[in-house]
Amino acid sequence: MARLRTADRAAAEELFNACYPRLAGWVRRLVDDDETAHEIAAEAFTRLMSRWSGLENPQSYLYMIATNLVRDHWRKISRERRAIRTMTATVPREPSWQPAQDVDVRALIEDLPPKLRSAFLLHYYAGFGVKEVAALLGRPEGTVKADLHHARNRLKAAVGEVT
Amino acid sequence: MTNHRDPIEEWLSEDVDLLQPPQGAFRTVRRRARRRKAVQAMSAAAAAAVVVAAAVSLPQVAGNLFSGPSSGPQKYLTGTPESATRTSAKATSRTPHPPATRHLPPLSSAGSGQRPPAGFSPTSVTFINGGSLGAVIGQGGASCAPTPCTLVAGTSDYGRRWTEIGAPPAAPPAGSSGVSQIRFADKRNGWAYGPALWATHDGGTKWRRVTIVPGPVIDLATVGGRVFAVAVSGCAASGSQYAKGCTGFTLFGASTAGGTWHQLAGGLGPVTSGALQLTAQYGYLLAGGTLYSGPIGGSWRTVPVSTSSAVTPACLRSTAGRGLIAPTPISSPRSGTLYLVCDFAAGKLSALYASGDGGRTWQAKRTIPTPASASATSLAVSPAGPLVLATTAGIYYSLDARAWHGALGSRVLGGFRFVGMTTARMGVAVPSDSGLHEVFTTIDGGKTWRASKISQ
Repeated sequence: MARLRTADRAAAEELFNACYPRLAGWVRRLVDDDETAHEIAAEAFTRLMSRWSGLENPQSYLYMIATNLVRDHWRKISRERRAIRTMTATVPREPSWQPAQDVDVRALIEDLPPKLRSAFLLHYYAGFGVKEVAALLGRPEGTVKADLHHARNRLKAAVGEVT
Repeated sequence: MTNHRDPIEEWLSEDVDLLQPPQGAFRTVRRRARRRKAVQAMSAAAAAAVVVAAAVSLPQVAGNLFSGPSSGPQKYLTGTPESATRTSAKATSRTPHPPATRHLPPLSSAGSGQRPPAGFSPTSVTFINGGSLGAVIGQGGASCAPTPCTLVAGTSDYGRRWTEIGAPPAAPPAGSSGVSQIRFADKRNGWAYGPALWATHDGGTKWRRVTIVPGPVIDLATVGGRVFAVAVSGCAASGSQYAKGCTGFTLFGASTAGGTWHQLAGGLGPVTSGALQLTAQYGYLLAGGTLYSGPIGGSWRTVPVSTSSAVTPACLRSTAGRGLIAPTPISSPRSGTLYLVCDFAAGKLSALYASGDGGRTWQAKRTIPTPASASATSLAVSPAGPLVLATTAGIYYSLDARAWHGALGSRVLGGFRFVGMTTARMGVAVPSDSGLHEVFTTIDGGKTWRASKISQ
């Protein structure tokens, strides 16, 4: 039993060393902040390791948790932004992104409906195949394909508006 | 003129910059996870106590449970307290549950169990005992939801029917973890690798992680009670591209029954999967532009190309050289033939060389007429002599190392990542696209190939 625990720990540490930098980097691109990226990546690993009794397929599980945590972070900052806007209602609103080549794709993705956003991030950004995304989100493959299509169209339309 | 490149496309195509963990991050995460596990265990125990208490009091409240909404105890026993509902709605994130480990039969039971689930995506295959038993490893697809997992299937009729057998509890390849390749020495001793290394000594029922071999293991071969593994270092590993950009390698050897792994050779330079080849008595490794060889169970040495060689193959001229080797079953410094394919990158015709003295002297054979867009991925030679080359444009075979014939060309988009000959006539090939959910087998020395569906 002790040997099994040691093997599990070694495997968990190896997984951490192998996956943390990319996962944290992935999160940083979405939240644009090193500290928050570390918090989310560490929380994803904590959840994985507190529930994980074997060594079953942890990588996409990690990304799924991280996607959910990023979504929560976006919700939180969106609430904060709304509160600030309410408090400073008389101040003219600043544009939320810079036009042309500096289009803030992060902000555009953040504005996608949650259903489209998760599929988009997992497929186009985390690199999971349509089948894997379907399994992760518990949706039929056809639905995921349609969601990805709609997400791209919405983003393209949004880019068209700001450029 | 304005560049109208789609910014979404641009953003998505950018590589993710790695963000290294702060000092001690793993320890912190582990401590937090342990604490949460303890809390979960306490909560579970408390919940169990409530269930026991409810069961004990059941005779008293049973009438109320079925008597309608006015009954007091019902709302506490069957409903969700308001506060819990709120907490649940507030919960920060949905956390998927990893699937539980399953217990499956060993390789010796192959052919008699359940078919693997639909969506099985094969990445590697191995046959033993003249093809009477075989195993294929791959990802389980939707069957493993919510996360991809590794599955192994076995066959006792050379791929006509596959049934699920025990698999290592490892993920698909990612950086230096996960597995994608499989080899068995006999029906008990087997290994899953690429990049992590796992071993079984009971045919696959139980697997254990081999941590003594450091770094990603990119090749493994076994013969005569010995197993050899090639570990690489300095790789720019990411995702399934775990062998990309490696700058060093080490060859390890061990007994197939288990025990310590010993370092046998090592050096600098790239090494590709398939660089390690064994015959019954002799082993060869092509790494970093150098050929190494040694008797099975003996010490390995570099094999310099002799000055009397008719030609020095291009891939043996520098440490950056890459090639594919395939020895005939009796190949040694004194007998048989060692084949070598160089320049196998897309856009170049693959050059074939042959050596009758274990790599000291070489003769150039005809180039292999593969399409310009094709890259060679794997070379095999059957016991009777025919050479079989897997490429990204299909499979090519030659009976005399001079005239080459195409087989399975455009029929399999993306070509093949591996080809191996089990006997003079029986061979197996693994498509590059694991999403085809099949491997291919031949029973006529590579002339014709039949698709072997892994799942139902």
